[in-house]
Amino acid sequence: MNERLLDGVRYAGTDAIRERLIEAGDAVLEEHGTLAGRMGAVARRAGVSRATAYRHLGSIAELSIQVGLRRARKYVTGMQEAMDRTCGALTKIEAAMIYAARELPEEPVVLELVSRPGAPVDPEVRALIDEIMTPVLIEGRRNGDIRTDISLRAVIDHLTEHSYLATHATDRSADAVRQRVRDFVTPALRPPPQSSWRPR
Amino acid sequence: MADAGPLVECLRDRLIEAADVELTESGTLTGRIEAVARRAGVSRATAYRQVGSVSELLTQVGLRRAWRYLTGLRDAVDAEAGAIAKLEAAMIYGARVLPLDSIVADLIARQFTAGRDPEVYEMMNRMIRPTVEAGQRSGELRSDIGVDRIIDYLTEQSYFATFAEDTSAQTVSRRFRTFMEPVISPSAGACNHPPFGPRR
Repeated sequence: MNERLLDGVRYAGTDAIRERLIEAGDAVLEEHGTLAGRMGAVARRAGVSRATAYRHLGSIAELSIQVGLRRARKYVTGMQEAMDRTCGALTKIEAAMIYAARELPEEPVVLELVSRPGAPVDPEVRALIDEIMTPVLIEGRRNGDIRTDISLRAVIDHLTEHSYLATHATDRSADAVRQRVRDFVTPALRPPPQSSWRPR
Repeated sequence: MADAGPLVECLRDRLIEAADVELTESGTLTGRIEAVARRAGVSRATAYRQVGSVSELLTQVGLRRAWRYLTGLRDAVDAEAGAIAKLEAAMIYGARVLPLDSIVADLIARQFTAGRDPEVYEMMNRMIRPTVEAGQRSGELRSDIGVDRIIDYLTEQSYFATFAEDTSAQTVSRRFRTFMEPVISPSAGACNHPPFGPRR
């Protein structure tokens, strides 16, 4: 077997163990409600040693992110469906935020992915958020609903902050989220009006 | 019992002052209520009766420290003309000094994740309400939403600016001009674009 092929096999093996560990982490979380101090149980369930589990995942925090990402998939579908029922970028953003504020607090491991201010955003989480928001924003720009004077990255990061606020607020009702979007999000995303505000 | 009020207030002030010193020296108040009581010259039981809990004591120390920043904030705000420039200066000042004091920063964080704390809100009110009211009167700030709502928005934005990785004046100013200025300007309320339309 040549070296490249061998590397490929090794990589596939590593990937499979990691997948098994994440699946086991999901099951352990389901059973115990927490992953804290449970790396041994996760490793046992995945059929590997505790040391191997740590080598593949690094830490409980990383395992938690991976389980969160795994579970987040079903919410991505739900959010896409909520957005598909509406027209226009701004209404889609509103629908996505109402959905997130209603659903994510029910699943703390997914809610945790919407990172706290100052905490670094995990690259995989960022990729997932980009996957949801980028098409909507590009469509919004094409239709003149979303400003084009700043980068998509800046817009998405700003929306992520508002999602953090909406999902952690005391009042997470659809009305409260709608009001937030209309009062604070939409004015920041729309193209500047012709005769009024201009970036200084 | 007419004299009990001032006496109680004085005791409470002494305890908060003692806790401030204790926090500076020990870095925590957890398990230090006895030391605080000793420092204030009262019993542990009296300390608990007066302040209730370590958490409440921390809030009070945070508020005490926050008031100290008020003078610096006023100087920064007074140096500018117009509501928009004053609020930008307040944001820059806050992001520079608040991260240095985690107790005060936590107070701001709790404002919107744990419901509005009346004492913290009163502090924010004293800091920026006059500027917001003057801005609405002069037409520099939007008036389709109330002063309280604008203060809530500025508070949450200052939270993000304060906890950001980069709290430099340049970065805070960019946040303010890119996202906040369009939100607090009259154009935010007066020129609602489709699909939302003007507020009724």
